[in-house]
Amino acid sequence: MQTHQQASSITLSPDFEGRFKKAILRQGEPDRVPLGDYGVDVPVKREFLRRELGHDVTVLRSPHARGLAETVKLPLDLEVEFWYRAGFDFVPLSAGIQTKTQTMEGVATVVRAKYAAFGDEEQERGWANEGEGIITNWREFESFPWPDPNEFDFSTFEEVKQHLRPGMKVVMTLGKLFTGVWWLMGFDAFARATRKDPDLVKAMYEKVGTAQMQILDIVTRFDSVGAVVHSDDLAYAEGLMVRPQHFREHFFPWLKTAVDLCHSRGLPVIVHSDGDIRKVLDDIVACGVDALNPIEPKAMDIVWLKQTYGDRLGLIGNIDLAYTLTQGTPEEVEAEVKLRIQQLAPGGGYACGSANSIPEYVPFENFLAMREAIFKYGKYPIRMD
Amino acid sequence: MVDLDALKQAIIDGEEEQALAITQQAIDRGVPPQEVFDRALIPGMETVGKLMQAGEYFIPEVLFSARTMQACGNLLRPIIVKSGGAKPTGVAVACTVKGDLHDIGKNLVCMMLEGAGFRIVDLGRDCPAEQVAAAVKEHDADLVLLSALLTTTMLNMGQVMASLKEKGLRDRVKVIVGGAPVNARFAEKIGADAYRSDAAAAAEVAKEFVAVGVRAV
Repeated sequence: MQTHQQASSITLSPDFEGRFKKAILRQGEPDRVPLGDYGVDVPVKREFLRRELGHDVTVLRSPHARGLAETVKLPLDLEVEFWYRAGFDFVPLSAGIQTKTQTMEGVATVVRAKYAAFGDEEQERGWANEGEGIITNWREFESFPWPDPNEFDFSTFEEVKQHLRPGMKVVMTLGKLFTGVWWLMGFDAFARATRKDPDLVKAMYEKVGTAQMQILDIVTRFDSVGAVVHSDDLAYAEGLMVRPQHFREHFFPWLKTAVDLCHSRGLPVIVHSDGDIRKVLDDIVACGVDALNPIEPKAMDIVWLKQTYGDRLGLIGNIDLAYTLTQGTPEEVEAEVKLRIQQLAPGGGYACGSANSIPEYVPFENFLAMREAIFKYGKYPIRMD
Repeated sequence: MVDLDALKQAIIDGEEEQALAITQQAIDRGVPPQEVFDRALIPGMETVGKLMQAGEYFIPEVLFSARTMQACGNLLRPIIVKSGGAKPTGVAVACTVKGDLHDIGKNLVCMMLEGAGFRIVDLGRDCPAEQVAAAVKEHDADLVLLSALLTTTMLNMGQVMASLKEKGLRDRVKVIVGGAPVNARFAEKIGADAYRSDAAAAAEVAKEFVAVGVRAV
């Protein structure tokens, strides 16, 4: 059986510095448009590796706990193997207090259903509790067992070096500052507190922000790390979730601190936010952010973004998930990738990927089609026919 | 004299204490509850809807206003019921579909429709299709409001449509769909009557449907 590489004539040659970093820092045209996704669900990775290796692969399952979704992941060596064979220049790894807090009972609710677009297996999904939270008042804030970053295990960032192929780096995903605050409070309680108890909101940002900066400081010292993604959904398709003034008071000062720290260590910073964030794009640029992801098509026009902010922000993502990747045909996926590359890649400054991540409900053949189209149409100079 | 303009403004501002005080004053002074709804609560929420669409109000502001309106409505409703009840604008069955737990959008839509005078039958989250059909029949609903966050779960909206058709209920209701992955093309594909991208717009189309008449001839 041919591997994906043999079938599609893709040559694997990861080059984080010369390709991905060059693209997102707008330093000219690399050899080809890099792939840009940080999240691929385990069923998709598993299917890809099964076809590549000719056998199923082991996954690691966390034990079930009351009210918590089962966590499934690949062993680290297979995780790297996936990102390498899929053609990425990096392996995404995440860190942050959300790794502890989002597994706490009460932060999320679990439901089991068939989510994958291929295969019939029902899976569990943990959903952030929008209404109820676990820190809704000062008593709960004071008594909450805040995780101590000094007690976290960061050995993965060292161990991964054994598996990284030459040219690959780690893209570290952190962030979850605004998201972390409202997840812990529940959106209802958070919204109420913004008016009735602003000191509690400020204290939450201080706690979460301080912890995340400590973790950022630790992880960015590992030489395996090549870039940082600050992941925080500030908006939904129609606009920001809260007033811009709220983000200016509570969020952007922390983001600036994070960017300054990363830049002092030579690490670019990518902001990942869903939705329409046009009202705060200037604030994001003012923080020194290098690139933006994933640029949901329903929310923002990436061509407008390129024209307006392309001199200040690299752009990553945008291949539609509402229809193309999830319900479209492989031919439609190829056509959209080709169009985006032609619109955005000339001159550099673009990495191509999905408009959020590759969840299990993307048909596997569509994931392959996106990947193959990026290789096919992404070679510089970009052909416009 | 009861200042219903001040009550309307208190709804807009999400000032629950002030709004409740004026509502109680209205009750004490015998102002017909429907007049309080028609002159203060409903227009207040309409303004909130416009402010949201104009990008001046965000989710917290809408939540404050909606909760304020709900609190005032809770004071007035027992009086309406006792006096024989006023006809609601319409009855809407709402849910987040099977496999999906995202509900803040659905809740906002319900609050906006309540603000417009609708009676809401909220089936909550992870709702099987047959439960929707059963609720439509039981409550003689005019509208069905469906929400989903994922492209797999939104396919369950199609199951709701099939269930309504199977039970002979499809022509008795208008179906409005929404949620992050949903769009007008998908709504058309599954035979829904409308897709709207935010709560205020959903409330507007709900009122339009009821005004024209929901039942197919």
